[in-house]
Amino acid sequence: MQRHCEVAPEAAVVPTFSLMEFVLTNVLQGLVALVWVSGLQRVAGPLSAAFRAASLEMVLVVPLFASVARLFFGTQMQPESALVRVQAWLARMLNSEAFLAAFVVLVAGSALIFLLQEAIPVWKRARALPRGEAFRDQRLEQALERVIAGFQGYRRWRGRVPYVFRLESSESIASLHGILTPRILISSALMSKLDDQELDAVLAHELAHVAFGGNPRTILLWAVRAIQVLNPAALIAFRGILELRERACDELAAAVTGRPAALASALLKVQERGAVQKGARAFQRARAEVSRKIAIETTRGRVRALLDTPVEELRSSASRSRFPRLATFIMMLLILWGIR
Amino acid sequence: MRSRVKGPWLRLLLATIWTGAMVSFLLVVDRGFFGPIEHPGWLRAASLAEIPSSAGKRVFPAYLPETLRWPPERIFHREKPVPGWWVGLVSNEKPEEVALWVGSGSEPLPEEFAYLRECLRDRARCPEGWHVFSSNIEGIPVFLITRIDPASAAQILTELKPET
Repeated sequence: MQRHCEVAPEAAVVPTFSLMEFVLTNVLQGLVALVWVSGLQRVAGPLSAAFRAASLEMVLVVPLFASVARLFFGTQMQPESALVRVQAWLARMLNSEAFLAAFVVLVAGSALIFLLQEAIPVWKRARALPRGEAFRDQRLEQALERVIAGFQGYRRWRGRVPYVFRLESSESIASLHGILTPRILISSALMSKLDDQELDAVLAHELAHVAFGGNPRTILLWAVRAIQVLNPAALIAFRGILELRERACDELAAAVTGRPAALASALLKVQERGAVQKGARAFQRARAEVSRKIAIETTRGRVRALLDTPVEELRSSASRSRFPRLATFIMMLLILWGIR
Repeated sequence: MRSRVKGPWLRLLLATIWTGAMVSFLLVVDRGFFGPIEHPGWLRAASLAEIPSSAGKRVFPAYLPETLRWPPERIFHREKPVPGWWVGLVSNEKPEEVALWVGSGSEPLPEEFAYLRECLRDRARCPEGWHVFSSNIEGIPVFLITRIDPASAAQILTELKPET
């Protein structure tokens, strides 16, 4: 007699990638990536600011990329090939109150710093853009033509050449505005302080921002950083990117104009602003003083880097190939893929 | 001024050394804390539904003689080093002993019927009363080790169906 065997349907095997595991993976990947790129600078450096900024951008982007990839391919990966077994670390963390408390303080602190020092200030800054009438200016147009000609051979323009305007303002301002249509604003007060070589250098610096992706790139990176709000490595990397981007623009501007001293001189002239308002409250005065000192230190570092680096070295780093970045990206992806 | 820039090959070498050192450090820390990965080997399951898909594709008998009980009393599965599964069916007369093992997977066999391993190597060396049959069902090598009569066993083997 024949019998048919009933087979119970197999229990669904659901990939277990909890939020906690996602956060821990993201934090570990971010920290490892950050240590790795910092080590590259120490061991194989000095590296150009543009390369360092690009590698810090990878610190922001690659962990997120790896985490999203894991959501799709998580169940197909074997633990033997993992460099760091996140699930084991998670289990250890959940079993240790001290470990768990330290982790919570770390991620909560990162989120708080993001909120207080990045999210709210960005919102305030967006509402407090420099105001005043802007005009086309013949001196600026001529400077733009000279600088754009200098850019040939270093960077290809991906979009339009930005417009440049003179902003009627008593403050020393040189900044890049606009997302799809970049506009460079140079204040009349600053223009009156700068000679033609310094003006070229300032314009080259702002054009370098456009060449490096300008505001759209910064907004995109900010969004990637905001997604990883709990990750302290994202906090450090994003700040590093902003600082190194300025240095990278300095390097490119100095290479394009061939006069790093002119840019250094212009930087010092821009730095002259920032006197603390009389009558302000003690806390506001103290905060303004701290900000001023940080700005002075930053400018000092930028000026020193410009004056200490030979022009030939700046030119060489400005025209370097894309291979090191591609290799860094692939290597970082491989390392972070091992943390799962 | 002397250039501080290192040559590209020196940079590549230093970057490689640094990367290797960091990766080794991570590996040492992780393995130091949690030890090497050990394969748990054969795991016992309470029901067929508990066999994960990572144990490999399974086949099930579409035919069984009345003397054998279904579902199986013994269920084993493993993922590493080679995926495999075995199910053991008992007879109504002797429910404490497995009368038929069906499964797939390389040696070693689960401890419970490891004494039957010689059957898989050489059917002439099966313990007395035991027979071994093998087949390849849609690319799955399947073994049937049994002490029921060979004719019924052959029919079970021919009517094994892969799970859909």
